[in-house]
Amino acid sequence: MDPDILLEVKDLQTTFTTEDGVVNGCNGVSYSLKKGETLAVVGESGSGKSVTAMSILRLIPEPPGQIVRGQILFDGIDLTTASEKEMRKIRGKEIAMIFQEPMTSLNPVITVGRQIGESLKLHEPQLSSTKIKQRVIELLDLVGIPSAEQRCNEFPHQLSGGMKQRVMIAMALACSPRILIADEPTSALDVTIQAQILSLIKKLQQQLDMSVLMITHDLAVVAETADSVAVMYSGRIVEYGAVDEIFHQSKHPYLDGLKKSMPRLDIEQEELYTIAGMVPNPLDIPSGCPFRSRCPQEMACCQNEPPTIFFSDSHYARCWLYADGGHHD
Amino acid sequence: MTDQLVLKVEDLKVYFPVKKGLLKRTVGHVKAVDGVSFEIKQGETFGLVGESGCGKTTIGKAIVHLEPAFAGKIYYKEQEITNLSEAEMRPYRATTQMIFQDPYSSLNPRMTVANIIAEPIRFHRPDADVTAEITAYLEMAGLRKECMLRYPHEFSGGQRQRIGIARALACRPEIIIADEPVSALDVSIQSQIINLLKRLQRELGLSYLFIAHDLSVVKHISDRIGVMYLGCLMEVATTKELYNNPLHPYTQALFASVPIPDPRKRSAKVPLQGEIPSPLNVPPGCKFQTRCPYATELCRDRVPQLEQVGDGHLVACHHWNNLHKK
Amino acid sequence: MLRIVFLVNLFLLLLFAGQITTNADTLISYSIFAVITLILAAIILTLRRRNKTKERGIRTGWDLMWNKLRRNKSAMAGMWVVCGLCYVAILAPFIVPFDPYIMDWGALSLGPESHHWLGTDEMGRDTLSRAIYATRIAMGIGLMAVTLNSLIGTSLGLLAGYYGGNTDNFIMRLLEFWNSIPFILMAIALMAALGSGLFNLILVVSLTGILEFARIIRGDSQLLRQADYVNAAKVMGIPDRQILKRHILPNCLAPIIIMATLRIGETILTIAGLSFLGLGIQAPMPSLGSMLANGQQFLYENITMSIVPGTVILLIVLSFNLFGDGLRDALDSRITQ
Repeated sequence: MDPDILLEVKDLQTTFTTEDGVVNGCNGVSYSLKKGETLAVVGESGSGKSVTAMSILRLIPEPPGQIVRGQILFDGIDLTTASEKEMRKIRGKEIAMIFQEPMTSLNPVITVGRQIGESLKLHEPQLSSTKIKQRVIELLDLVGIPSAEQRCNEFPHQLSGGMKQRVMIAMALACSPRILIADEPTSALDVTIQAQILSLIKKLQQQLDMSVLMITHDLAVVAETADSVAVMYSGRIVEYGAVDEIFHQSKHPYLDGLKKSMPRLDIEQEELYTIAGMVPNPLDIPSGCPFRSRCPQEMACCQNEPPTIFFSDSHYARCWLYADGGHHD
Repeated sequence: MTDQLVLKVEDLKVYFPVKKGLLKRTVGHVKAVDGVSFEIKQGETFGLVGESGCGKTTIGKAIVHLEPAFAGKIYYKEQEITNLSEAEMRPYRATTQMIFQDPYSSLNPRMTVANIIAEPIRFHRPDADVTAEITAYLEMAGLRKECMLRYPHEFSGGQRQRIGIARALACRPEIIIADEPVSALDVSIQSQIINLLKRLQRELGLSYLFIAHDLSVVKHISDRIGVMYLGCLMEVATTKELYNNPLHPYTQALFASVPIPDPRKRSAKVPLQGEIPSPLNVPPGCKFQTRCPYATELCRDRVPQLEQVGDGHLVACHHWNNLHKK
Repeated sequence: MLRIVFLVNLFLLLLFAGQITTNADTLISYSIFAVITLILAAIILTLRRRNKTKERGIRTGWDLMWNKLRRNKSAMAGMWVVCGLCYVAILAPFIVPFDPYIMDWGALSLGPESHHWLGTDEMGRDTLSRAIYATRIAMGIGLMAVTLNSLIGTSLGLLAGYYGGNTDNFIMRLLEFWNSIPFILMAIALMAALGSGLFNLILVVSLTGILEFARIIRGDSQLLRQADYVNAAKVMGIPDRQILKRHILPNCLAPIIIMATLRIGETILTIAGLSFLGLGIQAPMPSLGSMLANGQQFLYENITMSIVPGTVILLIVLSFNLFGDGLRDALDSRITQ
């Protein structure tokens, strides 16, 4: 294994058993996160982008969820088979997570300072309470909360949405994790606040030498933050590459369509491009390429599992269009 | 687009009383909308952008009487409709319709699609051929007529939004107030709905009041845009003018904050520091002064008024002229 | 499943057709039973038609609720007992072994035996027949009282929740004032003022517990009032009356059904309690409460006289509560999904 690689997800399949049958949350997903890198997983709702992240921290409720196949390697440990005790050590301390809705992730009746302090105490029980207090204030300072000492004693509802997200980040960073998983961290925020939070995450990443796994539906956020990008559709990665390759040499028709259908500030557009149809029902995903029913370039061979075609060391797409170009896996 | 005005809002104020204590006495007001004026011509799209809590949704609701107006006037064509009673309002009800943000709460889960769309038809035009009209409106919104007997929960978000649009169209409106109609939808569905709204406007000559927080969407669909901050309009201009020549510091910051989906155009700097003040505690003078990088003593003392600075370009800033020269 | 029930119903209808007499009791029972059988047939037909036209994998809220309910064993047990009790109540005139009013002076205060399965009371009346008739009367009154109760409670709750403000204040304070009068005291006073009688009993019982009903419906309609589809209807100019009827009431149905189911058990218990005190159903009409009160005097001589009505009360209240609780769980989970 490449020594730079911190986390590697290999051929992960997570399923959910529902009353109507078994649904694939994600199916055969592989990616790796290097040290200090930001990997963005981008996809629409139901594409399985959050499921993969939740699988890494084993936060999938079992049942109905289940990791049926694949490995998640972190530090030589396979997280899919790790015991709950080992997972508790990793969660928060090694891999931390921030969520879209900061309000529901914070306990409304406990002060912000105590909530951050608690996660510190959990992982470093030897710290004295004055030390903890000091560290909490440092953390709040770090995430750019003004008059941190005072804010410590406030309750979550006294903070605005942006401030709450900052508190969430402070909580996540409490034990200096090596990986930060950010699940739609700015989707609930206003644009001006989104810009602040994104730049804060970038700044902290450099400062603390973290790797960030950014999960989002917004291609613009990806362009702004990511080094590498995995594009997901119906539980699979359809294209993977460095950010420049994804935005300037995209190969998969789905990614192409997605980029063309976005209204943009920097370009004049007459009519927006539309991807016909809808995301397939997770219970009834077509065989072969899941995108084929919406694809403008559908061919007969699309009914078969599409091949993985590499365009560079880091860039691949899973599509029959390129079966003759590129080189097979 | 013609020059006929279909909607005119004059100095509209919507205040919510803040009640405190055992006797629920009114101790103050949240000024959700604080003196907003604009007009919409026939066939035009007027976009309202702003961050959460700026009062853009409240304006939409006040126009259709879902919120009472505290002061100011609302005109439909020449008729003032601000304080009409429900009975007096009836002839104007069909003319202004609304499309909502959340496709899940905007349709009654206990009614079939046919009944949802039939409701306004039966009410406003009792003699109409209901089935034929339902089919026509479903088709207009891009749905097949087989949908009729199904219930809303059998549809995806995008399709539900289409049902909501068909319901609005069934009133044969002239004005549609679209309150964040695409912000709950996936990107690939967003563009379908935006294109649908544009097509309907062309075909039926509708006027839109398009309310959204997403600048790229508003820019794409609007002819003119109003930028709101804490209940006030900060700048109004045609889309082109606003984009090429934003004069208000807030508009400039807003544009600069929008991430561009191109990694080669990354910008490192954060355009605007600080947070939106609570509407309960609005700063004196210019409402933007607490976050404005150019704020001076004058901004803290006096409220800037919207002033005409070009053809149809209005801005509420004391220093626009100086900033512009820089 | 439903089809089997339907066939059994048809069979019973044919079986009892010969027993119809000019007696009003049997006529009413037979016609109610016939109507129920017809409704059952209609349900079977619509279900079958829907199964044919609908695509697989599409389910309504009711389907989901039924699936949840089916897996809840105690609720299903409750439901079957409730159904059984309904059958007994409706078909009472056809299935009683003896006339519950006829006194047999040769068989006073018997224990269980081959002729009178559950014995007789101190006047020689068959306890089983009286218990069956008492169930019929209790269920009938319970159902009527709860219907009246839910009608009043629902409409007050809807108005209070939808209009809010002063209307809300007025209705809710009035109900709270009403609720603050101790029930037994009020029942005694009302029965004394109105005179005893089945209709007055129903009225008195249905006036209790309106507050609980109204509160729940008020909360629901307060939430629904803010739903976008209600806003949409207002924007279209639809009058309030129609909004209440079409948009708010149908979406309150679930809590109404749950509340009503739970209240039937409670109401039957209340009626039994009133009858026990001599305020409810008057002799010689058989009632569970007065049978219990009666049996109390002969506790040492003939304990079956107390056990039978006690068990029936327990069975009714327990089964309605289990079923109602199951319904609530099933509907709640549908809402949170």
